[in-house]
Amino acid sequence: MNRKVCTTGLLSILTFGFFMCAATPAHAGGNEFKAIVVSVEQRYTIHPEHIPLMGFISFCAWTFSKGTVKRMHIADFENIRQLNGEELDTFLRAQLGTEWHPFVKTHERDAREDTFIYVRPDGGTFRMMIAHSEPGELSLVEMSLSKKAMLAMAVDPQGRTKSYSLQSKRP
Amino acid sequence: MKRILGAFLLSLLLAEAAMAQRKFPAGIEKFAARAEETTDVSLDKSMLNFASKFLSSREQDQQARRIIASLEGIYVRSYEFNKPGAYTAAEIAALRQQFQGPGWSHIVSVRGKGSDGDTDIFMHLGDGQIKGMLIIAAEPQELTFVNILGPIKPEDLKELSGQFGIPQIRSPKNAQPEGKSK
Repeated sequence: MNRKVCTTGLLSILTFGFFMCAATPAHAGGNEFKAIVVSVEQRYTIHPEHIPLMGFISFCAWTFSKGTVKRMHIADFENIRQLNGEELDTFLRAQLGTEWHPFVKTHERDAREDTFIYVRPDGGTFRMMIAHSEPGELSLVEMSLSKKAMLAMAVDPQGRTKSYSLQSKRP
Repeated sequence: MKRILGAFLLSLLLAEAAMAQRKFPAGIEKFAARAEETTDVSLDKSMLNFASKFLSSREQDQQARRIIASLEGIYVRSYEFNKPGAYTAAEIAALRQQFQGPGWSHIVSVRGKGSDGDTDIFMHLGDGQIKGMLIIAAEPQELTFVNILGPIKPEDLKELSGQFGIPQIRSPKNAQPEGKSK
């Protein structure tokens, strides 16, 4: 009985470790995302909120998207003062550099919400950076998309943006 | 006198070049203040190249693949309004007027009834070749501007309609070909 409990515990630890490893920004994309987060921290003098079980979220995204979305990173900033959509776009584009292409930009006037999507090819996949801002709040999401997912996005950019935008609102 | 004439001709050429490169008609930013939602889609050459490589082998997709592989970019700006009447017919007529100059041909004009809206398609010509196309789709609660850069034939639009941010273009059966090639 004790042995069974021990094995179950070990499996739980290993599973948890796997999830956490999935979220560790060990690859270039993770480092780049970290750099963007740091630049936002410095620009707006604010730290991102802690998102628990980030690895688990990334794993769920990978599972539920049937492998089309992976290596997801999320940073959520709250209580940002003087957040302006156009200025944020200019700032992020300067930070991301020319390898990232501005893809979709939406602005909702009454809700004062902006969504910016930038993409860059990365070997056999595409990386997508989504910035969603609303008064006082900013969410950054970075993920790797399979070719199939990216193609769907290119074919129906408006429809897909609404879906990704909704996802980025609730990390 | 020659200098003045030369400067005048140069300014005309520069104005035409600027118009050709500009993504959207001048003065459309004013609609953003009235719109509930503004959307910009940019598909540059690298994105279109990517999409062309991964479209399926279905015949319809093959057509789209051939078309988008040769394009330089597709840029879409759309404004969604809460209710009809956010823009006037005169404002849209003024936008259309910008493409009546040399190098542009107003090839299609669809005037819809009720919620159908109006669609205008202008072809950009240069050196005897098609350089691009500009679409103005004006529906009661939505205004969409599409700028397609690169060689695209009017019949190619059917293949791209409803994809790559391009709105559904209604059947040319209802269209009034303008045929005002300049």
